[in-house]
Amino acid sequence: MTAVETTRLEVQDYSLYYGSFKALDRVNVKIPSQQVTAIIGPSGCGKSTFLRTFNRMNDLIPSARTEGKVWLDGVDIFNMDAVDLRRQVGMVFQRPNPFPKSIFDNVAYGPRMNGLRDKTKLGEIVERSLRDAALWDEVKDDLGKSGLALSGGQQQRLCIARALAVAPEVILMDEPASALDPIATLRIEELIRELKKQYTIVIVTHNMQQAARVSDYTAFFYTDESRTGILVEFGNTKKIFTNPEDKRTEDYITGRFG
Amino acid sequence: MGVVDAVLSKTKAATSTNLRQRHWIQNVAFGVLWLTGGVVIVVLFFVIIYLLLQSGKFFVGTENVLEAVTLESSNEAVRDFVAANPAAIGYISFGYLDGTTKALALNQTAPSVANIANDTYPLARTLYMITNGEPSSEVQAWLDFVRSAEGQQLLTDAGYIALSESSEFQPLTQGINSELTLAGSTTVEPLAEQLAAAFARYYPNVTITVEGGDSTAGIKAAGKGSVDVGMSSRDIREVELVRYKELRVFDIGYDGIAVIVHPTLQISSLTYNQLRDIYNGYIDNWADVGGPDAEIVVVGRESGSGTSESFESWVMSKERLIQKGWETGNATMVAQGIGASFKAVWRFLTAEPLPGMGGKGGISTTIVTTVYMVVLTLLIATPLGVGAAVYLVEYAGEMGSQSRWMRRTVETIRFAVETLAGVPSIIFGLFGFALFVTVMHLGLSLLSGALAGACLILPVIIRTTEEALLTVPRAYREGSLALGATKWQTNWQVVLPTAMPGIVTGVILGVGRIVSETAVFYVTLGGSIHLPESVMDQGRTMVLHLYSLMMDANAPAPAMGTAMVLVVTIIAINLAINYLSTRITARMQGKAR
Amino acid sequence: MKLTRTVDRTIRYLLLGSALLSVFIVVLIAIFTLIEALPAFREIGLVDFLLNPVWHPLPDDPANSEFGILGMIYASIIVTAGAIILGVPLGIGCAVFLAEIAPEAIHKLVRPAVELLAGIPSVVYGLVGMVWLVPLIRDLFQVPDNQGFGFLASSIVLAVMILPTIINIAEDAIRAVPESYREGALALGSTHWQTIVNVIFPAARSGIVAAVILGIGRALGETMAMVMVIGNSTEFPVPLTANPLTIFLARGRTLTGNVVMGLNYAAGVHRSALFATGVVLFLMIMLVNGMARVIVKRWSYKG
Repeated sequence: MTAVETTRLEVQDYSLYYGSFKALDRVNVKIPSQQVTAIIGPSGCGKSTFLRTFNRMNDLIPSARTEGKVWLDGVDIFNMDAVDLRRQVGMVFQRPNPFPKSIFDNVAYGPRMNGLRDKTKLGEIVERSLRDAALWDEVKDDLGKSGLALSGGQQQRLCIARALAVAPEVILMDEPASALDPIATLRIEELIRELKKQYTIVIVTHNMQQAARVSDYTAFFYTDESRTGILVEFGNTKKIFTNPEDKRTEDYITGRFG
Repeated sequence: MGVVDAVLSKTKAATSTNLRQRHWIQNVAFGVLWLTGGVVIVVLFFVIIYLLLQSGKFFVGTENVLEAVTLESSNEAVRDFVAANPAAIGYISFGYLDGTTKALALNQTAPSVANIANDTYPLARTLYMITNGEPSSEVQAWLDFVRSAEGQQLLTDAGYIALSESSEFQPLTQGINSELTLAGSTTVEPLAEQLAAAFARYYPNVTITVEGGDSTAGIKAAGKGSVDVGMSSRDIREVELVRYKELRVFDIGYDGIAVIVHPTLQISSLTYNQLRDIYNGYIDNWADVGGPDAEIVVVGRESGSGTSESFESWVMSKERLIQKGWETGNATMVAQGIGASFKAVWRFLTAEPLPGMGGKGGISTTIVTTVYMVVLTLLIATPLGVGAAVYLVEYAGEMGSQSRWMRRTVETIRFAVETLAGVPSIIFGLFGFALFVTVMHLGLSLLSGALAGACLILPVIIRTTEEALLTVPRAYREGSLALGATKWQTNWQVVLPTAMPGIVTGVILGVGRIVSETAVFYVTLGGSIHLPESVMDQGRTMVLHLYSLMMDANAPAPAMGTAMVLVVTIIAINLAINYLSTRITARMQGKAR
Repeated sequence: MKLTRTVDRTIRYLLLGSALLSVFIVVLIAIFTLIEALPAFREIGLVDFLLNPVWHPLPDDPANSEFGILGMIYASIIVTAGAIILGVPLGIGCAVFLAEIAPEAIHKLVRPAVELLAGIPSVVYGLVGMVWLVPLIRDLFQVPDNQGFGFLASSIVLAVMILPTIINIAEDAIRAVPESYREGALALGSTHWQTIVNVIFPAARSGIVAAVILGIGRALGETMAMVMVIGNSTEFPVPLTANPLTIFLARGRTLTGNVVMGLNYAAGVHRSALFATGVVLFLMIMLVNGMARVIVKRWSYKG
């Protein structure tokens, strides 16, 4: 770890409600730049909901309401235009969701939305993104093929390439390997380690080994009968996994529940 | 689950009843179900097959005779007209051939009594005399004479063809003393006069009056009893036998029909198809059939004429040509008939309809108008309908947490769409008539019709588009939004293209509705048979034309043809929808590009 | 960036506008038909309009014209009832047949045919009715003044026209019954027929009833095919002989037919009376459709 770590995302007293139901309660966390931060916790503790805060995907749920602040590089994201925010904060979903378009059009989708029409430029971006997503060699001869025709692991890397193409600062990953087989999972993990050189990555995972393998920092979320998620502990991954401060974290890590 | 339990316990109780009885009941019930299924299948296929047969009959049958034909009221008049006009063509009974005109060969077969006898020249018909009820002894004597060897000899001398059997005439022992009146076909008339003269030698006290007219008039006069004997040069129609139940019909000989031209015309033979096309007006210059460059003057007979009826059923219709060719093994005739039938389909589709009774001409302008209406209506309704559906599916949902007013609005919209879908089309007609035709002063016009039609298909397009949008996976929308696309970019680039086959299905359903809609257009479109030149012109779609053919022009035959064109259109539309729905399924499974 | 944002907002309102258009059209339909119908209601009187059996418009003599639509309401009801009596048992029977016992090959043949017939223009049915059915009825029943045109012919034509509607919706309803219900009943040893009667019918009844009611709606609203085969007499329909069943051989005029026959030339009160006829028809159909909606909601099978 380098000495100077800047904070990319800062969350202060953040709560989220679905109607009258409180899904997250007063979360405070600082996510460091150019590192991989894993969010773990038992199912239903609000991990994904929390992740979707950073690109305001929760806005799509009509009843969702928030309290507290979230800053991206010091700018309050709730004061930003959601569309602008999402161009800076990319996302990869649990199930690969390529559009029913060609591989090229999938990757070129974001740049085109930003108004880029130049064919050569687009070609460069598509190639670079696919290379960065470690998919280029497999698909370079077949860019016109439907994205849906790829295997599951390839589809997920295509979705990563698609996210990279808009040159975001942060990439959110919502259990990106949960729908994939072990080999495809390993390739995605390798890719994540590679990507953190350029991007800040926040990944939700239910797989603790995966969190331990890929992340630098870990946030542990927990919920009790109230179903309201709270952030129990945040810190260096090594420390969380070897010497957690909170009893609940330890119980979860050692497999006593979850 | 309460209801299921109750039902199941009922079923359970039933298990105790006699097993054999249960199977017996099931067999009867299933028998009834098979029967209903069978009845429905028969009804459904009957409609289709009936249309197919009837329209087939129309296309094989008589084509519409050109308006420009000069009509003469007797064989003699036709002959004299042609004899005086070097570019004329006409048809007359063999009995009137006298050298002032030239009789043409048909399909290279010369018009001669010998060729009729050996069945190679088929343009022949039976001649009849008709009485009302059993003939009186005087009339019977007359008929015996006509059918005797002597009478038949006179007939042959006059250029007609004798019956195959005849006997010696046996005059009655006692003389008869009365007046006989004959009337009808001008083909039989001169023959009847000669026969009457010969008959008078046996019965000098009998006065025979022979009047002309035409076959229809002759049958009618005999049926009503206003003459003693009617003369006909065509078969008696079924309706006539029904109307005059006492008719007695006697064949007296055969006659050929000769197609005649001026003796100087450099043409000696025509094919049936050429002859038909001359009378249909498709060939109007002798040069087109190898003659001199002169416009053809077509002469025909008035509609009651037996000669004209025989000529039409032989030459103008393809049915008997095919039949005769088939019977005599004449492949050329069969091929000519079938070829001409297909040509008739094409002509029906491409010729303009003609005004007036009988529904003459084709349906070209109505096809074009139908296409105009489909295009205009969809241009108006598709963007609005798709837009409304996109709003309801993609935007209305997110209003959930927002104002109560907005939610009310969305509910009202949904209620309105449902109401529109249930409104009968005549109400759209009334509305279109009141608003577009009258208040907005658009008059009876394509525009008025298209606006009213757009209201009619709007709910169809909204509903199918909504369904299509709902099948687009949520993940596509999230994926796009997460890339920083705006709502509209997401809809335009991802959601709408994915839903496209479903939307197109809705649009095609709309096409079907417009093609079949009658009531709305009946009151807003005006109904002119001419090709509309602007959206402010009146027009007539195919269904309106069909309606008008039946209700105004009394022409069921072309109506059947129009119906078949409509049904084929609907079949094409259904096939398109089926194709698209398989594509949707394929796309959902990730197979399509 | 600003531009795309503005575009996004503008399009949202455009889409809202096109969605609101449906509401606008419904309102316009209500306003225009009512405004046009109002003079008729005022001058003729609602009761007289609905209950007078005589419809006798005299273009040159409005004072002596009579505008009563009782005969047409009666005719519409007779024809619809006839179509229901003929069409519903056949339609539902065929739906059960197709959904439950028809071999796959027959199903594959019949289903597209049913869809095709649903799309065939109504005038084509009217044509077949006029050319084939009317002469057949004329010859079949030796009753004085039987012209073939009339309620029997139009009921049969209408029954065939509503068959596809009934079959499609009823079959979908039957197929929507969960397989587990069927298996449950069969596992208890009931025969296939008992399963159909005791389990599948009750489970699918809301859909089947909806099918019938939509069929009624379609029958009431049918216009051109009726004009072609019903005879269009404005006389109040009565049986042709002492036998009351001969009412089906009588001629009449439906509400829809009344509108379409006169609209293009009527003026003044006559014209207004045609719009009033439309209003009555509209209300009748809304009643029927409303019933369908309520029944589907009430009876929908919540397990």
